[in-house]
Amino acid sequence: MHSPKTRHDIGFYAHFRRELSLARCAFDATIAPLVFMFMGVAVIPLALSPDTVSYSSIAPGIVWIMVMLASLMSIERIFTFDYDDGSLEQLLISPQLLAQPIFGKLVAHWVLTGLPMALASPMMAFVLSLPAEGYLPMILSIVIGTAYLSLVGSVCASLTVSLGRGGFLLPITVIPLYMPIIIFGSATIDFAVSGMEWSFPLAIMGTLLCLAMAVCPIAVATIFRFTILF
Amino acid sequence: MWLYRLSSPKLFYHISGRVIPWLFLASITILVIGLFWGLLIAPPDARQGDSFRIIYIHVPSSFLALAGYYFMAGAGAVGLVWRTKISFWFMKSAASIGASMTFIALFTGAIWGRPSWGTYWVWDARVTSMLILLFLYLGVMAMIRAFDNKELGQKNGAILALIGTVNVPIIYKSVDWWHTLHQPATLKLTSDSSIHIDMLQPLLVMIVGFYLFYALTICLFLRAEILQHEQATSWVKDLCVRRLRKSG
Amino acid sequence: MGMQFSTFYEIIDMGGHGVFVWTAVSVSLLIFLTLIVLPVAEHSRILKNIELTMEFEAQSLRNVDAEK
Repeated sequence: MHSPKTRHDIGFYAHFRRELSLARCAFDATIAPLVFMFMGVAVIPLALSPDTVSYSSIAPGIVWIMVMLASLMSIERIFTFDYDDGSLEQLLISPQLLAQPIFGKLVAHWVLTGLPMALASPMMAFVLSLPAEGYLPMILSIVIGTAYLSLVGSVCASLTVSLGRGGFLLPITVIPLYMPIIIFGSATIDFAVSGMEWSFPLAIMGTLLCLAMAVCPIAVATIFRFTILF
Repeated sequence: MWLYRLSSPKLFYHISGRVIPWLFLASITILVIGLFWGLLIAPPDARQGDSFRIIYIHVPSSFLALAGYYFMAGAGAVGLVWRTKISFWFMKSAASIGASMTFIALFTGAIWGRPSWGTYWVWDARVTSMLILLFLYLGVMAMIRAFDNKELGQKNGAILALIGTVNVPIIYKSVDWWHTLHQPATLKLTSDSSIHIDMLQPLLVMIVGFYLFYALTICLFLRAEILQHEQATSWVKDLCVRRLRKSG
Repeated sequence: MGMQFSTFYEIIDMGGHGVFVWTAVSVSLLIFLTLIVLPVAEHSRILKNIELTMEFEAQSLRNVDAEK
C-alpha cells in the first residue's frame, strides 16, 4: 500500500482519464447536449415572428440560456453511475483526498460538454446573425462559463445523487446559483457587439470560476462524506 | 447552556406551549396597533400620497424574508455540526415561513409599484434579488421534502441553504451590476432615506410586530414537527393519555 | 397627530389609492392567517391520529383478554 500523503495527484489524472475513456463510446456525453442546444435555438425563432425581431439583439441571451440548459441537463447524472455501481463509496473509504478525483471528474465533464459547446457555438451565433465582433467573446465566455456551471452544478448534483432521476429538483436548486454567470456571460457578448470593453465582464467570470474551482470540489467531497458515510 | 437544554424536543414542546398564548397576544396587539397607526394616523407621503402606507407591510416582510434566510441557514448549520434534531425542524419551519414572507414582500412591492412607478413589475435590482431569494427558499423546501429518508433530506436541505448564503451576496452584486448597466437608477423604492419621524415610529412598531409574529409561527410549526417526529416516544404517548383522560 | 381620515369612505378610498393599500393589507393578513391555521390544524391532526392508534391498540388488547 502506498503512503496516502504522496499520491494525491494520482486521483486527479486517474479519474480524468477514466471519465474520458468511459465517454469515448457514449453518445450521451458530448453529442446529445449539442443537439439539444441547437434544437432549442431552432425553436426560439419559430416562437417569435420572423420579420419584426432582430435576432442579433437577443442572440447573446438565447445563446447563454441554451448553454445553461444543456449544461444543466448534462450535469444531472455526473455522479449517478458511480453512485449506483458503488465506486463512489470505494472512493470515500480510500485513503486519498476525495476532492482530487472529483475535480478530475469535473474537468473531464467540462472537456466533454462545455468545450464542445464553446467550439460549436459559432454555428448557433451564425443562424442568429450575431455580428462578427461577438464571436470571440462568445467562445471565451462559454469556455469560462461552462466550467463554472459544471462546478456549481456538481455541488447540487451531489445533493440529489441518491434520488437517481432528480426530476425538477436539480433545476430548481441550481438555476438561482447560475444567475451571475448568465448575467456576465451574455453581458460579455453584448459589450463586444456594442463596441464596449468586453474584457471586464469576462474578467469577473474568471474570478467567479477561480472561486468555484477552489471551493466546489471540496464542497462536493464534504457533502459526500456527510450524506453517504453517515 | 439553556439553549442546549432547549434543544430537547420535549422541553421545547412544553415551554413553547406556555409561551405561545403570550406570544400570540403580544404579536397580534402590536400588529393591530402598528397597522392602525400606520394606515390611519401617520401623515401621508408628500409625493406618493396614501399609497406609501404599503411600506408598513412591505418593509417588515422584506426584513424578515432576508433575516429568515439566515435564521434558516444558521439552524441548518447548527444541525449539521451538533446534530440536534430540533434545529433541522426549525430549518424546515423557517423555510416555509420565510418563503411566505418573501412572497408578501414581492406581492406588496408589486402593488405598491403600480401607483408609484406606473407598472406592477419592474426588473429592478432589489425586486429581482427578492425573486431569486424566493427561488432559493423554494429550492430548500423542495430539497427537504424530496427524499424518502427524512434525515437525508434535512441534511441536504441544510447544505443547500448554506450554499445559498454564500451565493446570496454574489447574486445580489451581479444583479445590481446588471441593473445599473441596463437602466439608469431613476426608480428607487425609498427615494429619500430620511423618513419622517411620524412615519418611522409606526414602521418600527410593525417591524417588532412582524418579528414577534415570526417567533409565534416558528413555535407553532415547530410543535407540529416535533409531534410528527416524536410520536413513537413515551412522552408524546403520556401527553395523549393525559389528554384522553381529560376528555373522558 | 390624529386620524388622517374623517369619514369611513375616506378610509376605504385613501385618496384614490385605497384599492392598492387594502389589497396589499388583506392579502398579507390572509397569508398570516394561513401561517397560524396551517400548523395548528396539522398539530391537532397528528394528536388525533396518535390517540386513535392508542385507542385501537387498547381495544385490541381488551379483545385478546376477552378471548382468553
